[in-house]
Amino acid sequence: MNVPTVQVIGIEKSYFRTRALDGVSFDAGAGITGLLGPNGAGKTTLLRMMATVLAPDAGDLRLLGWDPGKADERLAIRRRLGYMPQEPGFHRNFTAFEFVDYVAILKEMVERKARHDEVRRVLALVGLEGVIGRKIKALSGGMRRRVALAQALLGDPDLLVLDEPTAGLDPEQRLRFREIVSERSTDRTVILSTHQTEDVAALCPHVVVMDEGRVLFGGTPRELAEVARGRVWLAAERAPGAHLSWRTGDGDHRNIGQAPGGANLVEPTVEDGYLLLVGHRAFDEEAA
Amino acid sequence: MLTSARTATREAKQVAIPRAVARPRPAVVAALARLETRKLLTSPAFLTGLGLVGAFVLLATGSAFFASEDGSGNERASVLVLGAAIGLIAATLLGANSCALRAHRDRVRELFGSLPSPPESRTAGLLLALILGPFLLVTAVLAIAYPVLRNNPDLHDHINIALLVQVPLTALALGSFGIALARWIRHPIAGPAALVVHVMTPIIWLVPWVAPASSGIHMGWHYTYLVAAIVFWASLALAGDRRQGRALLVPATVLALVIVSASLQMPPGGLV
Repeated sequence: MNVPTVQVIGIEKSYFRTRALDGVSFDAGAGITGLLGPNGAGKTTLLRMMATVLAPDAGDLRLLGWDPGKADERLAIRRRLGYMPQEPGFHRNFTAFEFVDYVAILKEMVERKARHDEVRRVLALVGLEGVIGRKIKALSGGMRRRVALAQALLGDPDLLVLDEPTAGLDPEQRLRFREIVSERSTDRTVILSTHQTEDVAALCPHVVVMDEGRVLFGGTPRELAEVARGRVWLAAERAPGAHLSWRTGDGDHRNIGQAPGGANLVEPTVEDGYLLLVGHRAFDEEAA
Repeated sequence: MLTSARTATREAKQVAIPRAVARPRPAVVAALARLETRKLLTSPAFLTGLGLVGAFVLLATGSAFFASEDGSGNERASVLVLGAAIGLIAATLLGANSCALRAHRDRVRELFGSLPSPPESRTAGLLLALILGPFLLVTAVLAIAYPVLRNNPDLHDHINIALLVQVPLTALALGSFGIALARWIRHPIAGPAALVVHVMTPIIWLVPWVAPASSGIHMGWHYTYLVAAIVFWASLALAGDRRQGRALLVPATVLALVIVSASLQMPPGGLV
């Protein structure tokens, strides 16, 4: 791990009786850190704290060396932050250009020509140069996500906090997104929350798995996959000892759990490691 | 009840967006005002308000008036100019209220909360847009129409610069009122309802926005009243972003001036 730019130390947060975060700790440095977890794991609550829009009940948070708990340091963080909320919200009667321009002004980019150039640059970066004059209410869901990403990229921020940025994007757009984010991650810090294990495997040198407000795992995607080594096997039927099992396209059952002797073990993936950690919850939710 | 109020307060504190700086930057406010001016003047609420009041004026004065030979061209033009001025004032209230509700309606609070500019920047930008947009527009309409109004024999004795200046100031006051309303009552019906209440109740006659010197009104106090009303609503709008008791100190102080000037402007026995 390089020098940490994000330090999360024992963060706690409750909404009445619901404990959203329960002593969460990890460090992140330059590069992309992926936050993986099922719904309700506490990812969004944590990202909102990193975006300085929510204060923790307890614990310490350091962003780019500053404490978001102090007003002046919070301002310094906000000046170097790009944030894409899970549900960003848009001024529907604004054009894509106007909305990003509005955000740019609020990011204190006051010199008009330079600001407009920057707005055009980020909109082109996300592939929206052809629709900059179109009203947001006329854009598709995927295009709106890209508008949200564009505003987060304004000013090339040192810390980029992205909450499920690939939700609603088609495969081509997701590839484009990976390209954009990976280009920015060489000397910048990107914190990315997602359900997509493929995004984590493809993008993130560091991954944190959360569930029920706690960190279950922190390490590289390879290490996450290794969690499931020797515990993933193929069989003709669902194995009795499997935590999780599903029929693949080939007709075999992919089983995850305590493999029986002589099982046809296969190379584990990031998804296998993730499912082994939180799979019971993911499947419970799906069933519900 | 007390417990539930405490619980609600605690919940609000739990999810409140922490503030970064106390004051908005003037350059940010100016840049926002330019953008907001365009959005305000082209907002559906502004255009609808303008259209509705225009239609109302035409109906009230009677379409026969415009079709018949009775009304001279000058009279018709005067009615249209006054109707346009009333329309612009009403549209300013509705448009400003709608624009000020935008962030709440479109749920961008979280995104904007992560940006360095405080919420007052947006409010101040919108207040400045009232000057750059409706205020200047009403002034321009009246400046162009001034000769027409002066040539109208029925209006000649009443129309002067001192009277016409009150119209854009009224637009500014009601626009600020629309923004303050949005900051304290975040509901889309509040603006239109306030306009209807304002027109339908006697308050508009008891404390007029626009009154000629011939009505007996004390012009000095009347101007003080208009300016104080603008400052009151503007400061109340800005206080709405903070929701702290201390932030209400300025509006509370100015409100005293509004009440005093509203009383002192009226001649004994009422307006002529």
